[in-house]
Amino acid sequence: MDAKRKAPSLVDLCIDLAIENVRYIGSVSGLDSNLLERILPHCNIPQLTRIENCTKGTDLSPVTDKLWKRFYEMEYGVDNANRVIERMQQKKVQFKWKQLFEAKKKEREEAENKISKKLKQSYAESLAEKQSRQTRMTTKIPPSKRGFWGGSGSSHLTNYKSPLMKKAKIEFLKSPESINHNAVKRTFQSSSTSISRSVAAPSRPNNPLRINGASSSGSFNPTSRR
Amino acid sequence: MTPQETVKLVSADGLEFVVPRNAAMISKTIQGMLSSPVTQQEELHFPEIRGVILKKVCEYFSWALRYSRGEESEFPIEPEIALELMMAAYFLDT
Repeated sequence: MDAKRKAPSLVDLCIDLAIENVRYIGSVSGLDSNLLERILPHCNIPQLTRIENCTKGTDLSPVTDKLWKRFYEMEYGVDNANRVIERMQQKKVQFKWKQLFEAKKKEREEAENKISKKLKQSYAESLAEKQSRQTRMTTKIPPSKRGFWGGSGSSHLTNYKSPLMKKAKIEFLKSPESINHNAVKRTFQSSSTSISRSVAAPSRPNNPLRINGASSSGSFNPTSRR
Repeated sequence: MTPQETVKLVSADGLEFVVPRNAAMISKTIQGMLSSPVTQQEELHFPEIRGVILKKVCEYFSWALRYSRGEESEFPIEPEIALELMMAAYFLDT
C-alpha cells in the first residue's frame, strides 16, 4: 500500500522561490516577521541594504539587527564587536548594528584614504628628488670654446673671458713647439687631396689592376707617406 | 459535484472560484471558517487577496490533492507573484 505523500506547503514553496531570487527582492512590506526570519538570513550585505532601503514605512530591525551583528563580526572581527558591546554597556547606550557597521566602514575608509594620500605624497617627493638629479634636455647652447676653423689662428682668443687664460694662450701660441705643430698641420692639410688619390688604390682589395698601377706609377709621393 | 461538495472563494476584486470542498480544506484557515457555525453560506470572501493570487491558490489546492494521490510534479510559481502569494498562503495557513 502506497503511503500518502504530503504535498509541500504553499508557504514553503514560496519561501524557497524567494530565497532563490533574493537578489531581485526589493520591498518586503507586509511580510510577516516569521517569513522574513526565513528569507533575510540568505542575503548578503548589498542585498540586505537594498531590501531595507526599499521597504519604506516598516522597521525591519527586529529581524535584521542580528544579521547586521553577524556582518560586523565577519567584516571586523568578533573581538572588535565584543569591544563595541562593552563600550555600549559602559555608556548605557544601545545602537543598532547596522549603524555600528556603517560607522566602522566609514572609519576604515577614512583611514585608508589618509594612508593612500601619504603614500602618494611620499612617492611624488621621491620622484621629484630623482628628477632633480637627472640630466635634462635644454635649448640653451653653451658658448663654444674652440673657434670655427679648428684651433689655428687668433679667433679663438676672443672666447677666453679670463685675462689670465688669454695671456697664457698667447704665450703658448708664440712658443716654438706651437709654431712647428701648426706648420706641419698646414702642410698636411694642403697635400691631403693628392694623398687620398694615390693611397686610395691600395685600400681597395677588389681591384688588383689599381694596386699594381699604384706600385709602379710615378704619381706616388714618398714624402707624404710618413 | 453537488453544491455541498464545493465551496466558493471570492477575491478582493470580485473574482469567484468554485472549488471542491476537500481541496479548499487543505487550507487550515478555510477549514476553520467552514467549520465555524457563523458561516452559513458556502461562500468565503477574502478582501485582502487579489483574484490572480486566489486563482493560484486554487491551482495549488488541486496540485496538492494530485500530489498526495501519488502524482508528484513540480508546482510552477511566477517569481513576480511569489511574495504576494507567500502572504496569502501564510494567511490561509496552506
